[in-house]
Amino acid sequence: MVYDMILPIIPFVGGYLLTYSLYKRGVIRKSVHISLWNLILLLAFLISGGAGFILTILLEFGISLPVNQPFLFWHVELGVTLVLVTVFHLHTYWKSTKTMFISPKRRDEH
Amino acid sequence: MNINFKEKLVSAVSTIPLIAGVTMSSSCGVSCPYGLSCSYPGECRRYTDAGGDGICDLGQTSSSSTDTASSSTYDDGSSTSSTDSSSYDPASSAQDQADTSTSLVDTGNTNDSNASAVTDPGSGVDSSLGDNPNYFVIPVSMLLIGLYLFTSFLFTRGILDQQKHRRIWNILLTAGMAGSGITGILLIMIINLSIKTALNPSLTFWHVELSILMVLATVIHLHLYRKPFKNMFRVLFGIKNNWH
Repeated sequence: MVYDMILPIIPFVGGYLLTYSLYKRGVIRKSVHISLWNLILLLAFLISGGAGFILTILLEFGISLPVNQPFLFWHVELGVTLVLVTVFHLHTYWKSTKTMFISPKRRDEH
Repeated sequence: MNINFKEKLVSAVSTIPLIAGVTMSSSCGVSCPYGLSCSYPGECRRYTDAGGDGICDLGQTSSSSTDTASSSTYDDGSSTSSTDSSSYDPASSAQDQADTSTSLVDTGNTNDSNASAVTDPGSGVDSSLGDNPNYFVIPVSMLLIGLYLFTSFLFTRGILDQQKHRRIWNILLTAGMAGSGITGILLIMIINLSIKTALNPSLTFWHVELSILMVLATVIHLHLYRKPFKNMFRVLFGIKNNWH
C-alpha cells in the first residue's frame, strides 16, 4: 500500500488560503476563520489520534482485526493533515508561538 | 478540612510519576526495547554482553523469557534456556516467526525479519509493530498526567504563574507534535519508497512514544484553553456557552 500525500495536503492548503483571503478582504470575521481551522484541527486530531490510540492498544494486546489496515490508512492520511493544519494553527497564533520560545526578558530588550 | 483533603489528594497523585518511572525503568531494564537480538555494536546504545557470546544480553533476556511460552517456534523444541537461545538457527527462526506472526509472544526476532517486515510492499503495514510492541503506553501516560497534576498544583499554590504553566505545556505539545510529525512523515517515505534500514523499528518506537506525548499534551492544551475552545462552537454554530 502506498500512502497518498496529495489528497491530505492540497485541499487543505487551498481551503486555508481561501478562508484567509476571505478574512483579509473582510468577507468573514477573523474569529470565524480561526474557529473553522481550529475545528478542522480538532477533527483531524480525533480521527488520527483516535485511530492511532486504538491501533496501539490492539498491538499491545496482540489483537489482529480486519479493521487494523483501514485504521492504519486513515491514521496516516489524517496524520498528514494534522501536521499541516498544526502549521496553520501556529501561523494563526504566531504571536503566542513566538512568546513560547523567547523569554520575557529578551522580548523586553527587542 | 476540605483543604486538607485536597492537599492529601494532590500529594498522593504527585507520586504517580515516581511509580510510573519505577515501572518503566524495570520494564526497560529486563529486555530490549525493540525486541531485537543484536550483535555488536547493536541498534541502540544499551548493548551489554556479560555472557561474551557476541549477542546483546537484553535481546536474549526478552527472547528467553518469552520463548518459555512458545518453545514450539524452535526447530528442535527441546530447550528454552537462555544459553541455548544463541545456538538456534536465525534463518529458520525468522521463518518460524513469519508462520507464527499472530502469536502474542513472538519476540525472538532477528534484524532481518524486522527489516523485511517494515518494508513489506504488499500491505504497506508496518508489521514490525506486531513483534512485541513495548511502547510503555500506560507508564508514559501516568508520568505525563502526574506531571500535569504537579504543575497544576504549583500553579494553584502561586509558585508558577499562568503564563509559565501554559508555556511549559505548549513547549511539550510542540515537541511531541514536531517529533511525532517528523517521524511519521519519515515512516511514510520509508514505506512508500520501500526503503530498508535498521532504523525502522527505532523510528516506529519513537513515533509511538512522541505521539503519546502529543495526544496527552493536546488534551491538556484543550483543558488549559477551555474558554476559547468553548467559544469556537459558539462562533461556528451559535451554541450558547452554558457550561460552567
